[in-house]
Amino acid sequence: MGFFDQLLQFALSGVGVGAIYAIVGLGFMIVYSVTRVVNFAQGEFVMLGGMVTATLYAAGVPLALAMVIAVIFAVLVGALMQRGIIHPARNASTVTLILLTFGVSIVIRGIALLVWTTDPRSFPAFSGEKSIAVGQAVVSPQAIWVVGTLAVLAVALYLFFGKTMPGKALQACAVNAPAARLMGISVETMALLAFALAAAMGALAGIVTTPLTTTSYDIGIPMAVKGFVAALAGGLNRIEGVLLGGLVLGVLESMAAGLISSGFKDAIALVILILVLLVRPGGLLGGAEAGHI
Amino acid sequence: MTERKGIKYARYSLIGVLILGLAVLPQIITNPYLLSLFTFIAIYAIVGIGLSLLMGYAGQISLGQAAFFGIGAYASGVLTAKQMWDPWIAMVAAALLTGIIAALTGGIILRFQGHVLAVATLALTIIVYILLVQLEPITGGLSPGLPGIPRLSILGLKLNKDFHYFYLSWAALLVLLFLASNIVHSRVGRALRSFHHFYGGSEQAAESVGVNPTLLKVQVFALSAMYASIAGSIYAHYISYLNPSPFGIFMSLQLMVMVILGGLRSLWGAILGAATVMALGEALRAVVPMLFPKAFGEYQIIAYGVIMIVILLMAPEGMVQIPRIIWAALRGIRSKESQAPQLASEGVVAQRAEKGS
Amino acid sequence: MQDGSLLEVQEVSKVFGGLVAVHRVSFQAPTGKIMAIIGPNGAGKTTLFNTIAGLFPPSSGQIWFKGSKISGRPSHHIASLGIARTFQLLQLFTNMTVHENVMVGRHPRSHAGFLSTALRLPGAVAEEKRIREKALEKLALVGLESRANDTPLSLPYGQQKLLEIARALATEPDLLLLDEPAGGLSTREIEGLARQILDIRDSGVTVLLVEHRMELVMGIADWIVVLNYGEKMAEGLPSQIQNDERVIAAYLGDELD
Repeated sequence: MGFFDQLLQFALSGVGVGAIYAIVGLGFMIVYSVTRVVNFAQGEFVMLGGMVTATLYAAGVPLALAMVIAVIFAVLVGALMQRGIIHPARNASTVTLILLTFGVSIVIRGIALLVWTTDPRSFPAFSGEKSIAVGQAVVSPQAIWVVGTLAVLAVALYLFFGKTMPGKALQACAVNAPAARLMGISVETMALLAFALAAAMGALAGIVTTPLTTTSYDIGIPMAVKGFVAALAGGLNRIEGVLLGGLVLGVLESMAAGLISSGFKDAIALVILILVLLVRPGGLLGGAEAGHI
Repeated sequence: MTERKGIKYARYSLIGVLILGLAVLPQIITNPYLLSLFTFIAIYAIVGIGLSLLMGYAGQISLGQAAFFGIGAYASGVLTAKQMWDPWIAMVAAALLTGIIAALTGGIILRFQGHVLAVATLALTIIVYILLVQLEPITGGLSPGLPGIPRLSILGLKLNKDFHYFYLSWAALLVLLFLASNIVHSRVGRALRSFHHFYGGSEQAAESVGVNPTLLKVQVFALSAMYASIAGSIYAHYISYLNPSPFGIFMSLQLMVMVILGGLRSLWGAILGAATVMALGEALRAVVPMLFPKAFGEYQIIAYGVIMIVILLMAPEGMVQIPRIIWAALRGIRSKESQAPQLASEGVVAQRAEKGS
Repeated sequence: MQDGSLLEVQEVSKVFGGLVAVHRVSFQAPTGKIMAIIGPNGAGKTTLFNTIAGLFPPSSGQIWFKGSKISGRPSHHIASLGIARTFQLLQLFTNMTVHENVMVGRHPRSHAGFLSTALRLPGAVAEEKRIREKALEKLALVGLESRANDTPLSLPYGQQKLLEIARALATEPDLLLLDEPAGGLSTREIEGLARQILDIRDSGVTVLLVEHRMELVMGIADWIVVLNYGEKMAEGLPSQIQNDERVIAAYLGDELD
């Protein structure tokens, strides 16, 4: 394979990976803009989505149903987390909140380890394994599902925030919570909704990537870190920024793994993180108004 | 005034008791595992004091202390095991190196606050971990790691018994605690306390009297890194072998929990927190297998997380406040010291309500 | 720059987004005198004040202090050059005692750093003693020395304002900027404040105040600048300003005592 063909291959695989990061990042964004909390347990929803689906499927449940149940399960966990832990601690210091979300991620991961042990799990790709050729490079059909899911989610979110009442209410909370409260919007309910949405998106990300990459009990942390980088690249409040950030991260990571070494690829995310913070703290697309999605 | 003197006398006598207790401890505790536990408490508490200065006084979050701990440990390890440096000189060099790295990275990331700063410091931990694993020619990576780190010696006496390190780490802890305490009760300490909004300071007011918050943040960050580095160096010479695994996210998290549990507003809290977290870990190790005989680490992890959550929800000011509360209750009046944090936190609740978070 | 003026504001403008808050204002603050900036609400007084204090740089124009350009410099640097300020909305250090609040004010006049304080070097210990004493002196100047060990929030509002002044004075400034010092004070308290400010001037400190309460302004100001819609409308002695028709007209709708 020629050099440019290699690059193309890396870029294509990178897009598939980056799309996952973008979806996770969107979850971070939603929670942060409404509650000002960076939920370090976000990665665990990704893990739960894939693991629950894989377990149910292995037990004989039809794939589509298994996926739905997995998403619902993740949403329940997210809601429980918000009601049981985040809400009581809403006036605590930032440090305490951070440690709390870490604590939750530890508990979820511990339970996952207990239930599923360290074995990786997977389930079949949605539309088969036959690679599709793009020039000299190949793309797995599952990767197309991943990107497709991202596209659908991004559009859905866009419409949700722009056109529906709950979406606008969420945005109102993000911009100015006391004013939103005065308008009759229940900020507490919106926070719950935000967590539920983020959990659902995380689970979807996990589901759609598992046939490609398999899943195991501890993928939560790297997912969280990289998803956060994507979110930060979007200034924590712009959908387009998060998409761009995730995709750029995925592609760069893929290229680094291919051209340098796979050991360093996890460092790429962090280097990008530092660079973004250094150069464009408002996000790659800049000009982020505080709290406005 | 008598109340203040009362507290002072109580403090000094407690310190005296502590030092006495430390001096005789190795005679009483013959179990080497327990002795090493106490040694580790001191080592982690050193990191905790630096972190306490950073978080409790300057108000900056750091999930990056494991990185500095690791840099200190490996710098000492590599310089002494491979380059045959004198261990004490290596320790100083390691601390300087770590301080410089912290100052440079701090200059970049300390302009951020809250969650974003936390993630940036977390990134530091992960980057350093990856470097420690990947730079095998220098560090030995995950395997074989870095063996053969020489023991320390003071004035010709070679420190090759475990209880030597018990004394060394506690002595180092007390000295470093003393230095930190001097800083807190000085012009620098006041300047540190003056600018952080959450704790009752005001950045604008601090700047209006010539305090430079940006510079101070970087300086305290570097200082906390140096504390972590020294602790790391002692650690390296104590266990004589290094492997990157401990120096990761979990250690950074544990260190933060230690400081939070102990109470941010007090340097002693770092020691108390370290002791508590270590004791908690040991208790889990002992108790959990009795309740769930078949499981290994999983239940401990879960229990750890649950306990962390419960304590954070119930005692956000940390455990150091407990003696103060008891003292005040005994006296029947509110001590002035416990008034100030309450007022600050009231102001904070009002401000947070304003911000609508 | 003319001799005899400590502070010179040259053609300073400040624009926020599309809003012109201050437009090409120039004046000199005469050394050793009390100067007041007045004007109706929204005239741009506070913006001009904050620009001088270094909270943000001017959009155009320059500010000179003791012969050096201070516009665009960070506020902590400006403080170390000899300008101190108080805040309209009090910014006390609520996590320290009254005494400690003023001790922080000694920061630009002291040097001990991390190393010398950690090691308790004799120089640092001696300096700390001096800091304590000087701070207590300033507290005595404003009559608060008996409250030294109390928390700032336990003081009545008027005394909290005095505490801020004491903290500012502890920096031993050449120029003291007072941001609406009479805000929220009773007439009696304003009389006390007026005496305080006159004492400060007589001790050699140049004073610049932004103020709304005319009793204070007319009582103590040596020189007045009037702003309206961000521009300098008039400048002169209190007697001149009081009788200036344009000034009176501008204040219609606002109260003019």
